[in-house]
Amino acid sequence: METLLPIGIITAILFTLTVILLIADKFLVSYGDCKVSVADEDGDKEFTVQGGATLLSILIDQGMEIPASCAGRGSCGFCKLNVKSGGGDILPTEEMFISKDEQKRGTRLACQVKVKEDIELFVPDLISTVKGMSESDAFDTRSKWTFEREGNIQVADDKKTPKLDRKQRNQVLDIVDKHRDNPGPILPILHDVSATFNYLPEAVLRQVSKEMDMPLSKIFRIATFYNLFSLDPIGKYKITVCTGTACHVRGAEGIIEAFEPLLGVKCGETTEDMMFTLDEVRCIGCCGLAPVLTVNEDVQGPMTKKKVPELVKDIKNNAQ
Amino acid sequence: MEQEITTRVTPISAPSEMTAMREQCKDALDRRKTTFRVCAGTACIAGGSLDVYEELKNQIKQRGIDVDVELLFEGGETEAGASKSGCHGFCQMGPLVRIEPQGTFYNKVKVDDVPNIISATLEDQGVVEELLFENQDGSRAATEKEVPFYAGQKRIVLGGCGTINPEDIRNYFAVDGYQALAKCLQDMTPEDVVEEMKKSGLRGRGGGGFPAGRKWESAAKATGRPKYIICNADEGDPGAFMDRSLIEGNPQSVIEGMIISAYGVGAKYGVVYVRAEYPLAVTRLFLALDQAREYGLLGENIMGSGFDFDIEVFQGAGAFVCGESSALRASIEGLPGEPTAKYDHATDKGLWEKPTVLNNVETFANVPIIINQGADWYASMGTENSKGTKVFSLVGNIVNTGLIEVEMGTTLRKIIFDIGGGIPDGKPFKAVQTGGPSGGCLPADKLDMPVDFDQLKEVGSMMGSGGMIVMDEGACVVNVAKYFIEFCNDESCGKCISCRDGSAALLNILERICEGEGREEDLETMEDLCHCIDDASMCGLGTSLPNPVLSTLHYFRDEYLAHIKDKNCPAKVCKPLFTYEVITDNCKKCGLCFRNCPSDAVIWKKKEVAEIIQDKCVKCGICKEVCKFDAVE
Repeated sequence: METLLPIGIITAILFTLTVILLIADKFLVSYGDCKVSVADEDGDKEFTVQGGATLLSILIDQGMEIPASCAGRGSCGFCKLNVKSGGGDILPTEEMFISKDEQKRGTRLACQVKVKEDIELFVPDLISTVKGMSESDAFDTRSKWTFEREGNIQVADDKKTPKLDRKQRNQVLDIVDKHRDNPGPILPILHDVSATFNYLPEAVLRQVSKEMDMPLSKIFRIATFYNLFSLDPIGKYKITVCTGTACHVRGAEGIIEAFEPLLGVKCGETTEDMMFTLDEVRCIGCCGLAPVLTVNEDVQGPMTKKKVPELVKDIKNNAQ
Repeated sequence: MEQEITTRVTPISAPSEMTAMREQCKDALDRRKTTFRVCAGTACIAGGSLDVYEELKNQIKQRGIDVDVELLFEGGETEAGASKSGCHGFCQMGPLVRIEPQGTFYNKVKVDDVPNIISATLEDQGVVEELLFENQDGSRAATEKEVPFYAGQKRIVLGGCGTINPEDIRNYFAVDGYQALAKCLQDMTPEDVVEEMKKSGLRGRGGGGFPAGRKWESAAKATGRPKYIICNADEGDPGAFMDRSLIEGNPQSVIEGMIISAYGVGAKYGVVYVRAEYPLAVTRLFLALDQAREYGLLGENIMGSGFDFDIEVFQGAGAFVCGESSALRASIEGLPGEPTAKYDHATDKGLWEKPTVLNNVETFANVPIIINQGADWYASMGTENSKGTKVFSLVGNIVNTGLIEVEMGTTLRKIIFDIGGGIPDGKPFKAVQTGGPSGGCLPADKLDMPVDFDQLKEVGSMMGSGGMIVMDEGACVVNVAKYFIEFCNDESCGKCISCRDGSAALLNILERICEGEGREEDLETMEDLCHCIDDASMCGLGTSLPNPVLSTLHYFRDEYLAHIKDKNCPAKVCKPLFTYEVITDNCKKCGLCFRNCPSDAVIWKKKEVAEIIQDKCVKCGICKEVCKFDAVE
């Protein structure tokens, strides 16, 4: 009997505390209805939700694409967006991923921001986000990637993704239909896209993704795996210097070094006027004529450093 | 008057019809008194051979001679014919033209030479001396057989390359094409075919050297359906172009090999995985496949035997690692070309998890020859464990660059000096690199080594796919090792840390050494690193990428030490490690170096010795090139 009394008192205290907490949670913590205004690449939208949940969960419920590889645990820093108003103060869990400049612009982590009042946001488009992430080599999580906002156009880099016109859309559709029934269609499709458009335009890949019901990230993975494809437009004259072993021992490096100052670009780049792209390839199988290069599909060899300025001059003359 | 193809295509409906077809085609070819064959391989085309071909046709027509461009099955004799051929292999001397039946062999033919060639051949019954191959003693070789480059070779697999028109299947029929397939379908069971392959001792020519017969046997026994035959034409080794020449020069031989393999194994579908960098090979392959289908040699009911098999072409996209068999299959299946661990043999679970035989282009090209001439004949060539012949691409600092075929067991010395003509300008031989990025560099004391799979491996190199890069004193082995590691680092799929980061670490060390910041312990570190990379990598790229480093460390350690201890590059390749200096005693004060220096690094006044300002010098080497008095070193 004597031992039961203390146990009973403690249980009663715990029970009371629990009830108080439950009441508090239901009534005090309720933030009521909150209006969420979102601006993103598809336009502006608005919806009303029950306050209390994180931005990430609310936006995902609404069907928006927010990268969140740690599923909202605040350890990846990928779910960045711009809170114009109503987000409250930045939390210590976010400061690890957001630099001072970004904080000034109102960048927050969606998984950490709790919606307690009406809130206005801007969400960057997914592809710019992924691009920015992959371009950043920094280990400092605060400089992983950032986005800027320019007026009402929501883009993360200054090149807007152009939309395809009807002719281009039909071209893409033809390519996809041609290979649709192939069990492993993606590489033949990319070959045809590259042949038709001269490179792999982002807008085309997005359409392929829609048509094939294949995630864009999967297509990007294949496109960036192979050396042949370029995600940037290629110049009118693609000069590819062979750097295979035979060409290397016969001076291929020197040939590239001769082109670079002449064209004003480094190997792998395209000139501003889109006339020349300088690239290298590891062996086109013309080792008997080493060192060789190709101008578009035209093989030329044996090359020497002296012939380089003549070649560029010839191409420029023919182009006129 | 140019006559177009006038023959209807008659598909072969029984193996026995092949003999009659061969005779018909042979007669059509013989009806031409003279044939001008112009090499139309990629390298000769780059040199202008197609212009020579067009000019030949025009000029012959202008003289009122009937030029038959394609084989005619009807009609009488014609005076002359002109056609294209595949790569002869003597790329240094292109464009090449061969006159049949004389066998006259012309080198470096230009469009302007055409009138002389025609007059000499058709009117004077003679030759144009200047266009013949010139031997080192000044004498001229009239035919290929007399050219040392060809005399030392045994051109069996490459027999058709340079002698037939790869764009016309009937030419292939005329030289016993598809006789082997007819023999298989008529006289042999699938088991017989596999047995014959095993008896021949044919080993894979792509680098692995696995016995082809054993591979076919495993696939034949496998229970999965349908079965696949894959031809690996993703010749990624820099410096190798054997497969390109074979497909451009005689694609039907490869196709026939694949069909025979399919018959032996019981396969229904074939794929040729071709590199994107070989557009001409792809075009010729498509054409050859279409023609084979027209004649009932591919598709359903091949030669009326009830056996179905067809081949499609799959283009690669510039990834060296896709030459590895599991990566290749992943690429076809639409995945990134990353190799996978080999829990199952590909012959049980390969492409799409079905039994697959994957062989190299050259391996398949050997198959019809083995069936026609017999496994015993084939096994009589070569060494005990490496039968037959091998095609090598002989390139680099060598007089006769090109594609050669020799019996297995031929010594390196014979290949490099007798066939290859030695090093240009009589410079001393330094090293030969065999086997591409997976192989190693061998020094002069290994020149008498016979070339075969096992012996090359024993000395730290590898046969690989057959690339042979010869280097003289002007090549720095540290630079070459760095080049190969850079290549492997670039092409690594990235799956295994040992390959991905190990190659980056090796590259880092080699770059430091080449920039003069090498340390003594670097050599041991590199050796350790190499063994670790070999142990921990999953696929062939990783396990063999240390070979260039290990072999050069073994045979050329002194050169590494010169880079590290003396901060000197003896071959004058690693720019921070050497300087160009004027030898004042030899300088004749001509000022040529001063006038040609692109970076104003030479001080010279009239009647004074030149001097090089090291700070401005960009080490381009032009001063040394232009000096006529050997006054720059």
